[in-house]
Amino acid sequence: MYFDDRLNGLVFILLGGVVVFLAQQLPTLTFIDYGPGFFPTLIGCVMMIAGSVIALKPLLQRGASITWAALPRAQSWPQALSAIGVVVGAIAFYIATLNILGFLIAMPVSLFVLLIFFDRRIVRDLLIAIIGSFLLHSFFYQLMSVQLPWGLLTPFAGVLTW
Amino acid sequence: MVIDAFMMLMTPTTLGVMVACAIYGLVVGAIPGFSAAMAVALMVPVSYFLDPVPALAGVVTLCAMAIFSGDIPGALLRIPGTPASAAYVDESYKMTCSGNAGLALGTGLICSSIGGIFGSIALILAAPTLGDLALQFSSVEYFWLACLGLTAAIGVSQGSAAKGVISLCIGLLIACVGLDPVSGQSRFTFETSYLSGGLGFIPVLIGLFAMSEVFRFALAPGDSDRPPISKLNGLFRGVFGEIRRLWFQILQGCGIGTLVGAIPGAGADIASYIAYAATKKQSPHPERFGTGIVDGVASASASNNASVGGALVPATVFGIPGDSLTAVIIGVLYMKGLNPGPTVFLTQGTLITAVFLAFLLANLLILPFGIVAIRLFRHILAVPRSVLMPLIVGACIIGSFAVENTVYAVVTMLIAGLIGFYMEENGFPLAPAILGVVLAPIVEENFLNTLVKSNGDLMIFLSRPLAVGLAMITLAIWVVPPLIRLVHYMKARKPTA
Repeated sequence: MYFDDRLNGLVFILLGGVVVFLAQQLPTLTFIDYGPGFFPTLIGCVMMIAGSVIALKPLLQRGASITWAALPRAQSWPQALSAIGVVVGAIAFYIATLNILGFLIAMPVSLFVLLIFFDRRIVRDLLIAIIGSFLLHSFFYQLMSVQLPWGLLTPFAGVLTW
Repeated sequence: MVIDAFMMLMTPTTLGVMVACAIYGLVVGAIPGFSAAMAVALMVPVSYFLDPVPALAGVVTLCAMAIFSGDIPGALLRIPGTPASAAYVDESYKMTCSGNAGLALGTGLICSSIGGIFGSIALILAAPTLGDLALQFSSVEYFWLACLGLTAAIGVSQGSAAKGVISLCIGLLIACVGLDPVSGQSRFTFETSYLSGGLGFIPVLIGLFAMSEVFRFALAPGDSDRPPISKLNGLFRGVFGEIRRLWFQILQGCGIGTLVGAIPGAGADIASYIAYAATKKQSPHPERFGTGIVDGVASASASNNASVGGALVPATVFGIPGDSLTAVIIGVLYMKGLNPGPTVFLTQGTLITAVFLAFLLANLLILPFGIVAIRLFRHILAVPRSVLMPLIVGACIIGSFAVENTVYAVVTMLIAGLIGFYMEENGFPLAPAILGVVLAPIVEENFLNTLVKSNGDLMIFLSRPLAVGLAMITLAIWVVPPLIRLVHYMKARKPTA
């Protein structure tokens, strides 16, 4: 997902500006003119300068055709964005439901969504999602003692722990 | 101390973790598109729950194995498993095409081991000596050293320098979130309690290196279709004769790798490019390079493995990472209470020696494990990426969650993944960003602490001979290349004037 460097440069000029603005709100140390805002201000300024270099470089190459945004393969933007959206959505679902549903429900659902989107074999994907989640749970919860939430399955926590 | 350190390694847990990490490193390194840094990033959450010795021994073993196994798909499929193998991928693939896959892979395997052992010995000998020198360093020298690291990170990043600077700034900004290390003032926290503690290093790391790769796959899943693997037979046939013939080039590759690895910002990929170029330049038949000869493969594969040992020198002695891989290792060192710096050799001497010995042992283990990996490569590659990628997403999610025990860490990982994806797609290198995350607190803390000591007098940064030397090197990296370009430009204009 390529964007023209004029856009990329502009993004970092704006980001650098926001960083400088926010950093200027921070106080300085008592005895010297430097403080917690000094370093971010410096970073913001450098970002703006580098952003300007990136944005200006294509302007100097006269005659070159402009492609504001492009995809790596011949696919439509809705297709590309939906692929990214599915990955983000599956993770967002996990984040939103982990504490309510518990790991052993949230993770298989997220994994299955991703597997069916990429692999498109229902039975195999379902099995991989369930077994994969169970293995991840066994390793991190049982062996590494990570406190993965049980959520809805709290009453069955004893049965499901080996 | 060495015997104590060796005994610390010889426990069933440590050896078991090393073997498991070796297998994991070989598998991940052999999968095209996955970098060694990504393999280590996914391993970090697991190392969090291990004791320091097995955790660190596992991580260094993983690094050594992943760098080597990147050679396997390079030789058989012309797809480097890791960027460190990219320099000689054409050479080794052409050898495979001409029926010499065994020679290409066998030479790569033995030279990787030789390079790794050379790097380990350099590390074991140089690190404590440099540690003694580093004990004389004050916050002024550390400030300049970190500046040198930041400068080199940009200087050696591939592609546009301006994009390298932006990448570094992103890393520095990520590290600025949370409490200011000197005054304790909240910065960019937007009054949220999660951000007060700063953005977690591990979620950021996993996001930048692993999650970004998943997004790239999501965008172009068909690009990962693999051609059939060529038949592999005769591993090691003629290898030892070639190694005897090329002993100087291999040794040179080891030296280049160790030195380049020790330069902050440079890594295994750059080391192997330089070693390949140096061998080609000295060769009596440079025109044959690129047609499938073993000369370039031998020196470059020794070089990329040696660079890991070289990179661990500044990482352990000064806490300055040599490349993104050692930036991750520094993160693990901090996590395990082995704060890198010269005092680590005084306070945790046995432990750090055990880590160095583990790295040496890992490079010896490359030989038997490498042979098995080459033979099993077909099966490793048989796992479809459409299945592998969702499982990696699962590992990324749980890996981020495991360290901080909060879903906010997963949010951080997701955002870092999207940033990494955008950066890679638009030619912004990732390595400066992760170096920025590691170096930002060192630069800022030493800068402000020094100014507090001197009541704001900036001349203190040039008040000590060592500091002046480091400052001059740092400034030279900025000033000398443009000056050289200007001189060349002036020379080119002269005849027409």
